[in-house]
Amino acid sequence: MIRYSLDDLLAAYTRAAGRPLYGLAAYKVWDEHVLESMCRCFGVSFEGDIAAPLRAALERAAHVPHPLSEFLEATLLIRRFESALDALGARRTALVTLYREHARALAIAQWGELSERTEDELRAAGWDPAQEPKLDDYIDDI
Amino acid sequence: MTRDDLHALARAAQTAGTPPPPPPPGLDAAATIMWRTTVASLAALQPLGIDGEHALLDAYFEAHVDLLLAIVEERP
Repeated sequence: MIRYSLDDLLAAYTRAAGRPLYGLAAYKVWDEHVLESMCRCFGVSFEGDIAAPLRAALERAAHVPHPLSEFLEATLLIRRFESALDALGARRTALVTLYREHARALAIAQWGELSERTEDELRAAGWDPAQEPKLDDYIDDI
Repeated sequence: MTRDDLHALARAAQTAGTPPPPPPPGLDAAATIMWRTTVASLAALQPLGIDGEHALLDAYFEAHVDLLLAIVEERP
């Protein structure tokens, strides 16, 4: 049985706050559905002034810029500037990790230690995996 | 173009209201794209103001400067 933790909840917020897969609106809808279901399941909310620092940290984690973030395909550039891009990527990861850890600490301070939830509990909160888009249906939109 | 020159350009790229530094002459198309996207990434890099962020942001900034240097050093 799959179990969901605070980290999964925060990751759901980060995905919903960030650019959806391939920029597709269908994945934005899906990401928001997952987040709403998770919030109901855990009994928490990211809304309101009290959650503003938490939202800021997660949104920063979702939007740390990268020179190639807007590219679907950048193999040529990656190969050509591989060494510098590898070093840049490692430092970006360190920064994103800091924001995630900061967000985790804020979430625990705000909500306390949340116990894990099961997949059945998530489904009972409205999560419907059948709503997940199938990438093959959107190939022409990419 | 030295690393210090690129460092100054990178700082300028982060200054609000300042146009992004143009690619230096002599770059081919791919290197020009890499320059522009690197400068855009720098411009979007802003602090949140939390503990421990400063050193990591500085390191990420310097990695962008290193990338600009790699672009410039590839010029024929």
